Amino acid sequence: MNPSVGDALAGFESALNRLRRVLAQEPDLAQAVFEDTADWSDLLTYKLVPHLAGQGCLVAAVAGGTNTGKSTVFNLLLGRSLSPVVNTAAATCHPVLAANGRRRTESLENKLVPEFRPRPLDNATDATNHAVPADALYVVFEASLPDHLVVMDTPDVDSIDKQNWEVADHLRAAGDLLVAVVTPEKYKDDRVVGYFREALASGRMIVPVMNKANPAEGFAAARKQLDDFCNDVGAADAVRFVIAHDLALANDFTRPIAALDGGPDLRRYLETLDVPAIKERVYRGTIRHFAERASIFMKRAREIGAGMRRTVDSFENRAHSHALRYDPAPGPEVGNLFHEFVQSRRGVVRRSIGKTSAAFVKGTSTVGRAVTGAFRRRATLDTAPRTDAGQWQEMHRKVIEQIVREFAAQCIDMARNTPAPAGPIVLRAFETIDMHAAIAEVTRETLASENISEDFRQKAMATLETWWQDHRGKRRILEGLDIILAIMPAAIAAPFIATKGVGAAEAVAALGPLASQFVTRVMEYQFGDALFDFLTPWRREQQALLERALRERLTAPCLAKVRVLLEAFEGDPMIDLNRYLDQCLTRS
Amino acid sequence: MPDSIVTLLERLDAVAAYAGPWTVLANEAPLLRQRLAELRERETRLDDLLVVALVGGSGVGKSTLLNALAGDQLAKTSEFRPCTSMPTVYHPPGATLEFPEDWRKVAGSALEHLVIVDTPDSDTIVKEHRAITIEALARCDLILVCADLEKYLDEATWSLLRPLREERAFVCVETKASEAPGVRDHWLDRLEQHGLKAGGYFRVNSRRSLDRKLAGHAAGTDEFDFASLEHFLHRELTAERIRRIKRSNAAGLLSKTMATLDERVCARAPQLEAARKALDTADADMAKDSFDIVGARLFAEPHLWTYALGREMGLRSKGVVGTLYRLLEAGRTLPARISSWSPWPMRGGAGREAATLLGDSTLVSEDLDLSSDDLRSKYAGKRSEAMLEMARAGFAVAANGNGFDEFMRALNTRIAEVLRGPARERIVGRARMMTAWPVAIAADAPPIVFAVVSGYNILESYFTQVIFGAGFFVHAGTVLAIILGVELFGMSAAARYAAWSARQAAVKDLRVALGGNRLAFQSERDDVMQAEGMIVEIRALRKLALADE
Repeated sequence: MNPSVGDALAGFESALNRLRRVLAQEPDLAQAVFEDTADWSDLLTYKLVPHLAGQGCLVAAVAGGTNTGKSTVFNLLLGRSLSPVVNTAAATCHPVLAANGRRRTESLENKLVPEFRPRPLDNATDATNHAVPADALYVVFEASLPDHLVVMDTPDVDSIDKQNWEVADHLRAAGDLLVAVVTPEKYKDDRVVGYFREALASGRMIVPVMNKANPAEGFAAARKQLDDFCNDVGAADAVRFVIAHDLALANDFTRPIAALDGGPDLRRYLETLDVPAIKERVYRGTIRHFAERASIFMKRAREIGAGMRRTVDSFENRAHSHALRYDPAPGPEVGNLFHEFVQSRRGVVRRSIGKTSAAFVKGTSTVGRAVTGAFRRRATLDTAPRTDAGQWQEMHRKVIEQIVREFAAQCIDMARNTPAPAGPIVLRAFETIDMHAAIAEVTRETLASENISEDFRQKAMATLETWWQDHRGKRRILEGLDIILAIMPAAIAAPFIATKGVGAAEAVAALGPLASQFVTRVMEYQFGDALFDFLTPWRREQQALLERALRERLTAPCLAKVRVLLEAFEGDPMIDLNRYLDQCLTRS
Repeated sequence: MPDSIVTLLERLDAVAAYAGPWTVLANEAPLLRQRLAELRERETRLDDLLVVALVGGSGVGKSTLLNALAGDQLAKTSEFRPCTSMPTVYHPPGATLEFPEDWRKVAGSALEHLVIVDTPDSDTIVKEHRAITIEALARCDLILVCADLEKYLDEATWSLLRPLREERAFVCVETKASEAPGVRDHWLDRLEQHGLKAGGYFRVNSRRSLDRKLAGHAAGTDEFDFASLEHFLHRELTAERIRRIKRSNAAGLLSKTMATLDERVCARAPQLEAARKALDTADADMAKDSFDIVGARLFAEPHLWTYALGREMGLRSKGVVGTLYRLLEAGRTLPARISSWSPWPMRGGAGREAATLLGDSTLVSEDLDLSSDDLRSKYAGKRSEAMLEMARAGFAVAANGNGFDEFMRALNTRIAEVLRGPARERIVGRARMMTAWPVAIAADAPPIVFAVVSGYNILESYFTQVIFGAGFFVHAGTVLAIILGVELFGMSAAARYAAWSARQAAVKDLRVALGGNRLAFQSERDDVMQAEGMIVEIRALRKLALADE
């Protein structure tokens, strides 16, 4: 055998086991992925990898349906009662292996049938004892067997004790040749035929034995039944054997098992087989079958992985689109920001005039506020003062909470509509997560700064600064308007004060702010196109903040499990599997 | 079919017809419908005929057993597998049967109350046979599980029996009995381990029994248990027993159905409860918020209430002072009326909606639009809280619309009801009281008495040749004006007070009207209530089904 194929196979097996370990935490998913892999992954464990160690010994396993007489055939092969024959069904639940001296030692050292725990058969009924662990393998000494032949009795393949099926599947992988024990009742059974068909497909040699055959007319019925069986299984050229139905001889194990067409009896036939040729064929067949099935498995695993990737992506996309629903406004006083900025550019003279004007407006506006306030109160019961920064923050908190809740609800809905295996995993996570804590976290993280208006102010000032440098023409107009703005209240107030006229305060209260508003609007109009620009970066930043928080606090914990699984699907186990499989295919 | 079952099924139909947004139940509904159809179908043919199916692996001797029971070569038997590919239905003559047309039907006089169906195998590579067998199982009442030493533990047959646990009575028939020991105890033990309970166990050798029958041996002298099997089928299965078997099959299916439903659906009750609580909280909050927001607009302009009262008083005013007050009122409300004459709708006058409703106008409530962005965002926020809980309880999240319009309609209706109802009644009542005849007479009396006395004085002095000077008239006129002025002021003050108290009462009324639950999230609440109702119903029905059993 090619040793590099061995390396590739060993690598494949270890990668497969890694994948199995990762997926073990999700039984449903593991089942979906590893469905139908039992037969060929058994091949890997029981045949391919150990086979490469190179043993020149033919392992013949006696297999078949429950109560067809597998143990009887086993005993007949060995010429004495070794495996207990019981009339109730599904009796043998542990394999019994018969070998001569050297092979017996080898099998007791766990070289022939790995993964089983070999132990000598001390008590004849041990093989039918259900209390013994499932991986027990009983080994008996049979001196008459040649060095190159080992015979095994196996549990059934079709009873309600499914653990027997599993053991039989392992042994099918471990054997080179299967003595298919069928009866006139069971030669057409789906489980039985399927078991041997699979065995043939994986390169095993099949030797059909019709037990309890009707001896009438020279086994005419048995002949036809065996033909049927061989055709169904696909082993048309197999040499057939029969055991006549005779209750009287039930406990006589010295009879030979005769060939249907008069060749040597079964024991002799097995002894004279060309072991290396069969081993070679089994090896080739095993590799072929393994490669075929492993490719199908890889394809399915890739598909499942891709499905999970799609699920993960769809949740991530949703987080993004929901974050875009957040349309943060920096606060009620945005317009003044710009005004403030222009004022901060004032020179010494303008600043002092501006201060005087502001003092007029401020000093008199108490009266003005009282007057307008009285009117306003008439118009509304809502006498609360205008929104301040704290309330603004509170409003944002509510908006964000609403977005997060809607996002969570839609995620749950989406998870519910996502097909297995990813859907149920995500749904479980969403149903068990502490949603209120998560919502609080997202809100806290999005509104990380104490005062988002203040935060925005700094960013806006920076943007304005750049704009100011870049727009010389507009800057001049703005500065001109600002001069008017600075002087106007003072200019209006001055004549009244000079003449000590009545109503100076009221006039400034009414006219000063009005004029300022007018000029401010003109200024804002001049600045209009830039206004949008200085909001956008901040807005995007806030949305990104929300999106990150949504991902970290909601989608990430809920997709955590899927991500771990996805890593297995997209990460090294899968890559290794691909690589080793390629190596197997090219080198063998 | 007893009435209790009929009503039970009808009530289950209502559960199965559920097509709401609660996915937990909606996902169960198709299975439930299918089960109900089956139950109903079984119930309708609860006649005296018992359908017995012979089921088992290929080659165990189902057809041979049928032949032996019939005492004739009815069904083909062979040593090659599989032999039977279409069921043979062996039935009493003249029985009405509902089996597929391609099933072979043989009438036999030996049967009075039994229909025996010989099914194809359950286990060979011919998969269609298994499908046919499953179909036959669905139609039978009693299963004769046939197996021999080789096949009695075959998964292929057991896997057919397991899903029918509790739904079908069955008995075991060990075929091909011979001198070798039987497997009765082993088989029955294993059945018990799997929770299956056989109604009988018979060990037979059908071939030999058939031969004996054909050879003309007397009945009842057969070897093994064949005689008792025949006795069981012919004698023990009385009409009463048949009914009992069928009833117990149906009850088993029903209780299984109910158990699945209970397990899958009712487990969600705590989450539903949480969803309903969240809805209640959100609704209560919404009622409070909408009162704050809408009330602030509706009650913003107290003078409009005075106008409304004045208008009502004007319509009813009597007497001199009343008429004068009416004129005064007309002058005072002139600005408001001018604005209402304007061809452009003057929206935004905060309390106008209230005033319009208070007035006796024909304005319909659709025109009352109190929605605002503030209200809209509050609604969306509260709704998201409830929707999250609902999603966790298994409700599908509606993609379109959040029901804000319905909420606004409900809100508008309630406000309109308050304003048009008690609020307006109070205004009208107060107006009526203030313009009642006694009040009018009392108000008119002082100026009229004064005028009469003054007139009498003038007349009297005229006849006594004394002409009053102009000063007297000025004096009398001033006194009369003062009297009228004081009375008008009093009336106006009283009207203001009455309007103010009516408004206060309306504020209280509105708070009560909105505070009463079931304002917002009505459809969501209906969904949750419906789901909760379903759970209650399912639990009740399960109890009923158990009691019935």
